[in-house]
Amino acid sequence: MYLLHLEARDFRNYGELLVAPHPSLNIIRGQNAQGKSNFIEALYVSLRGCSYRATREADLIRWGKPCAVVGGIIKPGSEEADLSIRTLIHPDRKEIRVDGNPVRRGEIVERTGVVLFTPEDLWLIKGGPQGRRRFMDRELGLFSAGYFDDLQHCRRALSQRNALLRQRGGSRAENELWTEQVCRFGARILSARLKLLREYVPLVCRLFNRWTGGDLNIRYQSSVVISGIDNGALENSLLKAVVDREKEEHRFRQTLSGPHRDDLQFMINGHDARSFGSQGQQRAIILALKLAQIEFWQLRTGRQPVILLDDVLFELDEPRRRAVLDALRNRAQVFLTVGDAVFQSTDEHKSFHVVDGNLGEEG
Amino acid sequence: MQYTRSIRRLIEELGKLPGIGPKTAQRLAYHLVTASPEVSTNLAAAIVEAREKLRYCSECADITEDDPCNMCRDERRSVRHICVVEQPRDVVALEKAHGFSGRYHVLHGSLSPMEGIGPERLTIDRLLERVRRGGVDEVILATNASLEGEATALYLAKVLKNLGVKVSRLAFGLPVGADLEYTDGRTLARAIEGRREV
Ligand SMILES: [Zn+2]
Repeated sequence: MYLLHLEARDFRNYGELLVAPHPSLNIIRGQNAQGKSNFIEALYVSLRGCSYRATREADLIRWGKPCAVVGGIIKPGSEEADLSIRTLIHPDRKEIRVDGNPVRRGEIVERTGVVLFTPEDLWLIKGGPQGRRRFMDRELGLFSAGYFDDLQHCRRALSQRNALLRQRGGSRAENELWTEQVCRFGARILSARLKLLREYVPLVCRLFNRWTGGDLNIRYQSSVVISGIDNGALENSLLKAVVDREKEEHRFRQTLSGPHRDDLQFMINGHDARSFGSQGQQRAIILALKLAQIEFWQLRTGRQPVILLDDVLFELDEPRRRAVLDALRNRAQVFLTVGDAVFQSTDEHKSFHVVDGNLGEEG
Repeated sequence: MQYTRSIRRLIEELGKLPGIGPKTAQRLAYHLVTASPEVSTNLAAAIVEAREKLRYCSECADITEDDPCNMCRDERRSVRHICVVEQPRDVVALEKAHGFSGRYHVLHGSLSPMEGIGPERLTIDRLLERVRRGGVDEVILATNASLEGEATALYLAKVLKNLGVKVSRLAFGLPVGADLEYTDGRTLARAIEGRREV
């Protein structure tokens, strides 16, 4: 899968952006703060319909402009027709169209593949559990049919139940009703995560262990006792957890068990990498997670995702850099930002130069 | 921009209506004060008349001029079937679909603790009373396919079953997230036809 054409208007510091990328390697040069990362972000938005770093939609819109537009034309596979995805961003809402028809975000995520590498990825290990849950929900969830809808229902059911807990009122029947909703959708999310991890985790560990000779283990830490991974068993586990923690929940007035409280734990040779891993080990885990994501894409869809590397390649030592470049050699389309120095590539590629929100093709 | 006081008030009042943003409110306000005077006097009179004459039907809680409403007095409509909807506009949508010839019951919302809506804020008591009075064979739950609509249906199914009446649900699933009023007539008629007992 690759991007044939990218077009953006009033996106971040770009007034007008028109690019016809190379189907394999694209190198983006430029000094800091000229718009390299914004370009990577535009590529991401064109494929996903949302940003990975903006906290508000308004941040994506060029200063003083009413809205931003990002559009891409994608070649999904050799046999399939081109796909046109257009995202219109207003400060308060967003509209995504595929071939002119409005769609929900969940729908395009299931059709387009993108794997992103940024320096902030390290927070996946170092940061709080929220980032790791977001990784599971965003990057793995898309391989499970209906995951995004279930996740939305799950969050909404949680808000409803927590509201009821805060009000302290509610008849027994009403309390039971919202508990059932939370457990029903929570079980679906939990089940999907566990099934996806069962396939994905071995890919990550194999990569890590091959590079470092260490022994990586990834554990799903749940807020409930898991005895089986089908919906029914998990729903029972969740219901039981609610009963067990009833007093606590009434004291804190929120739902304390469920996928929204779970975490991933990375263990190297039996020790938690978050507290005991070296910077190098933590980087290696991230790299393994990302490269495994690419493999996962290929396994599940038979396609290559588009790969975006924002300022990460040169933070890696030589063997890791080679591991990345080797993994990317498989016909995938790659976008890579580098500093101002000219990057020598042996492969066929296109090179772009960014100065103050203007991107031009070189050579 | 500075508005004169009365135009500002008009824009404010219009802006309180559902689905009307500041821009639309401004456009409507300027239209009303520049169009011929009858446009505004007719609109104002229609609003006042509707407010004065319309009330809730004491039977089905739909909005009506006469109490009980036309549908609750219509002898051709079967009293043995009650179709429960969230809003008066859902009754309109179902009537257009021509798939149902029983009586209706309007809840005026769905359960949502976030908005402070519990069972006591809906017309559930009145519905239970209608069923308790007897003569009802089946209650069809036609709340929206949203999380809240689905939860409301589950809640009603539980309390109604205690009364020994048959309870069924329209045949559409939750992921659709569809509101009744935006569902086309054919689909609605099919959803009533294929309703499942719960
Ligand atoms: Zn009536």
